[in-house]
Amino acid sequence: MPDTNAQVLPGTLDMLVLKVVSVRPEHGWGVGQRLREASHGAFDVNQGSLYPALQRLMKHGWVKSEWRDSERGRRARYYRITRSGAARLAQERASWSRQVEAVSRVLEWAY
Amino acid sequence: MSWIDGVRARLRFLLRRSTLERELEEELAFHIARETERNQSLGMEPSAAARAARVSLGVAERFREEVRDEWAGVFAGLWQDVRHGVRRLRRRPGFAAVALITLGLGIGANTAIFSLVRSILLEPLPYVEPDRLVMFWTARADPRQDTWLSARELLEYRQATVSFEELAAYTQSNANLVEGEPERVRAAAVTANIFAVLGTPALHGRTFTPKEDWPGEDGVVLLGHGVWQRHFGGAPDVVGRQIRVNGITRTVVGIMPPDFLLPLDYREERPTELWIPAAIDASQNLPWGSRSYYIIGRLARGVTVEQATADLGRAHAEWARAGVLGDGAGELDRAAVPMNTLLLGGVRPALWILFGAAAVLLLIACANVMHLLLARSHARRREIAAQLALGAGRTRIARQLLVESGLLGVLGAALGVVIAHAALRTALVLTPVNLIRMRGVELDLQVLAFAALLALAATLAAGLAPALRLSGLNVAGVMAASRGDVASMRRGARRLLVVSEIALSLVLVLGAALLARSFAELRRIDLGFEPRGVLTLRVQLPGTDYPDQERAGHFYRELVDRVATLPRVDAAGAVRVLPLSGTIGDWSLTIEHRTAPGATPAADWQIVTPGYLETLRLERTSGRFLTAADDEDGPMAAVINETMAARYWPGQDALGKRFHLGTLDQPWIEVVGIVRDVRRNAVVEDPRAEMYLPHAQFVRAKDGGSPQLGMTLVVRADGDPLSLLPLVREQVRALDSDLPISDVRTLDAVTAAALAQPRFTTVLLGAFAALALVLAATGLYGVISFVTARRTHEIGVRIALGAEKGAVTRLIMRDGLTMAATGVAIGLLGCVWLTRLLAGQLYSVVPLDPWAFAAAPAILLATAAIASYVPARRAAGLDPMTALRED
Repeated sequence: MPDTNAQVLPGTLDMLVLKVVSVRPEHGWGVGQRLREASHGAFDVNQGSLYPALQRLMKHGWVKSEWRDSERGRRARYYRITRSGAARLAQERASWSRQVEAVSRVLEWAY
Repeated sequence: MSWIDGVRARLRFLLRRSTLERELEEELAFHIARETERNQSLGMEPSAAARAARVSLGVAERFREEVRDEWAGVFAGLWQDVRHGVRRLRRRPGFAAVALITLGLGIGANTAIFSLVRSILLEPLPYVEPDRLVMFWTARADPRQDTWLSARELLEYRQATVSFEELAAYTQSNANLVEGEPERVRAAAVTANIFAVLGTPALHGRTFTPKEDWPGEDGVVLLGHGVWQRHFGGAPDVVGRQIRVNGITRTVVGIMPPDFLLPLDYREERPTELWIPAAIDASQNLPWGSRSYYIIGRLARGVTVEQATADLGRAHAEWARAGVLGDGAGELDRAAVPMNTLLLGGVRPALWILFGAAAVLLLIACANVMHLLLARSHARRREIAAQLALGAGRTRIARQLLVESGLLGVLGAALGVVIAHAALRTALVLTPVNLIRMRGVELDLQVLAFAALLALAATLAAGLAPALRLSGLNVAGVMAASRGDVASMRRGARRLLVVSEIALSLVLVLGAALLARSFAELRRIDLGFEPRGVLTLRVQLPGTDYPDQERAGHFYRELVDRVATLPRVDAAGAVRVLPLSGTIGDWSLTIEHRTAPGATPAADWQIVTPGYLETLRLERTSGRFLTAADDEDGPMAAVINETMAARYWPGQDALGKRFHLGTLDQPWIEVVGIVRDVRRNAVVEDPRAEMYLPHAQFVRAKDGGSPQLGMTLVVRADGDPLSLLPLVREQVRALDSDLPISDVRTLDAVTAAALAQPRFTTVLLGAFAALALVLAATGLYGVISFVTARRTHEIGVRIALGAEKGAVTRLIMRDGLTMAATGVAIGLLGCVWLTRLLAGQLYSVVPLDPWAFAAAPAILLATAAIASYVPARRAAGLDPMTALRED
């Protein structure tokens, strides 16, 4: 495993999870996999944070879950984004972009 | 709407908890399966792959809790804490039992007393605007005494005063009812407006109309609910029917509601159940001095009790100036006494004192539970430090501890309610007659709410300190510290608790000692008669069947003679009013050759048959008792008491002197005997002048009128007097088969009832003190044991270095006794001030009674000595090697 394994930046996990389930419904394990793949292995999300994050999102009503058969034929819980979740994601995304932009500007700043 | 989604999700969680739990499990199982698969695909051994998968999930339990926390917030966490708490309590049944019983007793005592206080003191009397109701009592006695007034005075007060909206009056009597089973019931002759003045309408039918107040129009009667049920089976068509009351036919106009009581019924065992119009004939020139009415006034709006009393005083002064009251006018001054004071005056301070005592008891109980929790928290500090180190939140820990003590509180309250229920049943047996409202005492919602409130307060009081202390633990400190350091930190607080417990207990024990002393003094009072072994029962002759002295005299003579010759009977007689069973009242007199100025002579009038004085074993100081020769035709004779002799014939021998009833021309009566005073109206009273007139001569003595119809039969017998009842009843039947008998009691029971209130207060406070003592002893024992256990190491060293067992025992006991002595000293200081509150409850004992002030500390110190001796012995028996190895 690459040494570059990193923690997800604090405060961004919810946004990332929302993004993953917005593409298509995923089960918990799958969310972890997608995050790892999408970040090219940079984010190896601790499962102890992932499930609470999913529950948190559900609690807010941003994702909802349903049980169906997984690709292996075993029953699994799939999470899917809701309409308010999508709105939330857009919002988070916008604010994230602003921050990244701002941070970049500072870093590239020179006399 | 996102917040609605959120609320819905939350609700779903709460409602479908178990489903969600199951889903969570399944989800995790799925995760592990997939992770294992993935690990295997990366080349791991199957078993290693599974293990790695599980590790990646972290400690499963902790993980689940976090997920749950995410959801449940406070509620689910609380539930979890509760289950946790229950488990903990069950794991330590000893601790739980002691804590629960302690709390249960504290809460139970308070709940019981609270329900008394509430229904007796806090709930208004069941009259309309009871604050505006007063009765006329004599103004010359302190505390004011009830007094009878004449019909003439009622009419005159109505004219002469302005403070009252209305004045009503009633006089108490008894009636024989012969509908169905003959029964004698309490009856009252009332002015028609009395129901309006008290504000109680009839349940069925109507109350009296003003017209029915007139003689000739008064052939009506109101039935009490009880009579209605017992005699007429609750039939509604009784209204309008004619019934015979004391031989007179009357029309039933209405039924009164079951809870309607005339004011003074509150002090009687049986309430009034029949009302007839007093039919005062205002057109006649009524005598001022014929007093038999209680007057009730409804104050005009805005008028105070003081103003009303002043108004009465003014009217009285006018009459006195006009000379209509005779030369005894001074004694006829009246005061308006608020109904509340009148009915509850005696009970109120006693109840508040008990309420205060119960509160003190609860404080002690809380202190004890706090002890237990502190001791437990000490034992748990390592465990909690570990939880903290593993990342548990401090609030969470504090909450967990508070929930645990809250659990104790809730269970303690439940136990307390059970105890209160049992205690109230006991209290009802002990209760003095004038607490009759206790019939309505129940553990209702309000009382339960009170218990819950107490439980909450107790929980917070007992649990907060340990919770704060533990949640604020310094982790490293606890883990590193040896036991001794931490123990010393806590010892100060615990000692303080014990010292205050002992001080509080001392207050209760001392109060109880004072009351017990006072009660013993009351019991020692020489009543002037011998109450043991006497059967008493009441007979009331109907005036229609016994219109004259010939009939009535014959009846009582025959009855007493027949009963006196029954087997096992030593003596028998009859009397108008038994001592200590009611107010007897006085009759104004004329004393022959009396020149001394001052109040009109008067004496309490007793009517007796020959044999009565002997049956009660009154002590004769000179002359003779009454005999069969003192009959209708014999010379007029009377026995008087020493007080009467000394008052009206001071410095002379009263024997052979003469007096007569009233101030007119009634026949002279010769004093033929003098007896010692007896306690008449109350156990504690100044002796009153009293005369015993023979029943046979009463009509002659008052110069006409009706004979004395109601008498109480007294029978002195060997063995249980009550077992004579069937025989006595047979004799009454033989003379008059329609005649009911009532008030069957032993004379012992009559005198015991007279001491019911002091007994009630004494027994309750005594019980509280005993409980306090036990709790304080438990507390002290607990602390000494705890401290000793902390000092095991030190004691081991001492013993190893050659300290004797005795020395070790003394060392530990000195510790306990020092705490006890400190507490006792503080408690005594408090008592010097507090016992004054008891002054009103004490008879012939001063609040600073040296006996009580010596006994109470002795009791506490002895208890403390025992409580610390046990752990001290245990410490002295320590094996030094074991002790040193510990820790």
